[in-house]
Amino acid sequence: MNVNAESYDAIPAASRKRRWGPRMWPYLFALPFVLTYAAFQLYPILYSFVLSLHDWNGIGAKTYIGFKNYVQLWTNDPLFIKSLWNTLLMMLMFIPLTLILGLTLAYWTFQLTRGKRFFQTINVLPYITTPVAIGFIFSYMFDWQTGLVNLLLTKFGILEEGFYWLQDPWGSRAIIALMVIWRNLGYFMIIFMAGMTVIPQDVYEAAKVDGSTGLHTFIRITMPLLRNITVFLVVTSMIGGLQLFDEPKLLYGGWSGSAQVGGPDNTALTMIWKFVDESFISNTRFGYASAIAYSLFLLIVLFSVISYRLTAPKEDKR
Amino acid sequence: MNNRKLGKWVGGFTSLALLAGLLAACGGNGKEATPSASSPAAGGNASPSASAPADPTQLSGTVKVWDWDEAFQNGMIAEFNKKYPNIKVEVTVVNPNDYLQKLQSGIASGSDVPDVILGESAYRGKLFDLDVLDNLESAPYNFDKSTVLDYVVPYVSNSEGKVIAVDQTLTPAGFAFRRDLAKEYWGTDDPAELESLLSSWDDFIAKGKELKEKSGGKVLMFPGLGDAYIALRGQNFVSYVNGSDVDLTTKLQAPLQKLFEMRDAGILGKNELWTPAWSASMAKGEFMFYPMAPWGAKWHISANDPEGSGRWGLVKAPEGGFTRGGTAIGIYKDSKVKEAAWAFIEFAYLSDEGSAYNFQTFGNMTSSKSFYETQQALIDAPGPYDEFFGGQNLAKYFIEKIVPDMQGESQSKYDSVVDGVFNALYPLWTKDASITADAALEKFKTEFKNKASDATVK
Repeated sequence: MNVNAESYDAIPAASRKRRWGPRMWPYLFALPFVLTYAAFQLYPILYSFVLSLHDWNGIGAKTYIGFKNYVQLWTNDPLFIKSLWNTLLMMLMFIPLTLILGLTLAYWTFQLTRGKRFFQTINVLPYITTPVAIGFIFSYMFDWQTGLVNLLLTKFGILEEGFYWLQDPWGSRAIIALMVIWRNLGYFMIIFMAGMTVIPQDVYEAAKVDGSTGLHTFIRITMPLLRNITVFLVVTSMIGGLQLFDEPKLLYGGWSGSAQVGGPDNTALTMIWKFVDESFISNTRFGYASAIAYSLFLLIVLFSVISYRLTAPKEDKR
Repeated sequence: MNNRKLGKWVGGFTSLALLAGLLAACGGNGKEATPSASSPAAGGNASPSASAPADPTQLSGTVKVWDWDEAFQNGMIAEFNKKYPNIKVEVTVVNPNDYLQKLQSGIASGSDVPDVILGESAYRGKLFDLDVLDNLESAPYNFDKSTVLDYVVPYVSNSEGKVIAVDQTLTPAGFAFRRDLAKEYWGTDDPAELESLLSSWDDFIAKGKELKEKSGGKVLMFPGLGDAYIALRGQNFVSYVNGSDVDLTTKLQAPLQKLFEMRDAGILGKNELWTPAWSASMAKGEFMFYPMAPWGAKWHISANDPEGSGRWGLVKAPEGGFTRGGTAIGIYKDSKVKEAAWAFIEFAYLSDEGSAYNFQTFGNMTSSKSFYETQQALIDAPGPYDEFFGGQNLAKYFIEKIVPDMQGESQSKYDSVVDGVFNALYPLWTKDASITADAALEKFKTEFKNKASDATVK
């Protein structure tokens, strides 16, 4: 009886331990991450939503004002609407171009038998250059009075007087788009090349046997097989594009205190720049800026879903 | 996928590292707080009427200062510690462009906040509006505002009229000019003669046209619209903000009209302020004038024209002086070391001995009246940049010729919005000469309204 009782007690304890053990460990191991995530990501995300319902300058008392910030933002803030429009315009300028150029460059580099590594390295260099340096380079290049571009254009007699690139509504947007393309091209190229490496050679051989060559192979074989890569690039550059900030900000006086917010007549004002301006530069409206951040978040979700739907293969669309 | 996982791990570790850093930082603050907390008691024995206690060695504590001018602080702290050996002053170098943002983040998150806060002119009004600076006229400071030059008081007062800062240095401004060009085209480089040649803005424009003609268009009056505007707006001391009513017409109509008159006369260059081309123009000799306050000799003219010693001069602007830049120094209202912080500010920016050191070493001119009454010999002695300006006594010129014209201008949180709107618009006015002054003012109002939606704009 005693023995029986002992073994009776022992068995469930052991199995309890076995059941409890493997279950607890994963949670325990995940805990540091979950905690830091909660403290540094989840909490700020939720807190900024709470902030967006308040009027607060960061120091004084918070006043709860419900959704007034959002109403003001979407119905009575022409600059916000303009910043949204600017951001979309610039995305429209750089996303398709970067995709096309990146794919072409990747295809060309991929075919190279010599100097492949060299070209890869050269093309990725802009991607690892710090944005501050890029801002400097481009603002020097396109300076009205002393810029290299104007110097060349006037020297070769194409222009009589230098063109005021940075103060032209379309010039400013085009230069920002150019900066983004220049910076991201290498990255796009690398990703496309990675995709090309994965395509099995026998597919190409089969196509060759069937008499497909050059452009035909590229359009019919390479491009469809790179579809997933393209979806990835489109969706991520949509997200990145909506968060556009470094390039315009650095182009317009990253070096000085008297920086021009938003470029000429706010044609280069992006949504993040508007957000920064509301919270730290022109104003100190943390609540209102949080409302911008949340609106931007919703827009990014919306655009990501749309771009995914548009580009993903049919069977993956759900 | 792997990449994303890696990213998460990296993120996790970074956060952990940050957390550790944060805790360490908090720990550090805690330690520092212990000695500083005792300091008010130590200073409490001192007589309340005097701004500094009778025995400076009795004051102790650690005063945290955020400043962008490390050289100034290093020099001044050493001087200060000769008199106050037990007060430790810690300097954190903070870029003026990020200053307010860092301060706000620090206060909002309850982390690091300096005891001594600097308000550069670009964000001074906003800083005053945040209500983080202590009233210096009350205890324990008991600052008497009649001890500083009258015109300075509005620059260091908040909208309720309380004095919440002292001035780092007087910032009366005139024009730095190229002696070589003035001599060549106008036949004189004597400031007194130039003053009479340029006694009104109309004379200025006429002389500008003459200069342009004689030089074949190679030399113009100002590098750009921004420089001219600094002088024109600065001379209009009228207060334009009343609560949330903002009267831009009163403030800007006349300056803009004059500005556009100059642009249309072709006497302004096409440079934007602070751009590389603008900085380079000083050494090139393409423009006659650059608005300059006392700090400009060091930071501005000699910095951009290092070879130009002797070829610069200083003359007052037509129709009077104006202010340019300027930094207000205040004390955080929740500071634990108010007395020690005040002792430092009082010594560095107001006391005769600190001001003498400040003046001789850095060319900064205190706002304290007594300095000018007792230290006339110092003013008469050559200053650090007089040689660069052709032997002209800059301080004497500023004090005697420009300061008497100065008037105070109340500070407002809308000042930085006005500056921002101007910075956004003037390149367009430069580019498109068909824009008129009236159209520009209307555009200015619209833009201002977009940025300051709570204001009623006139």
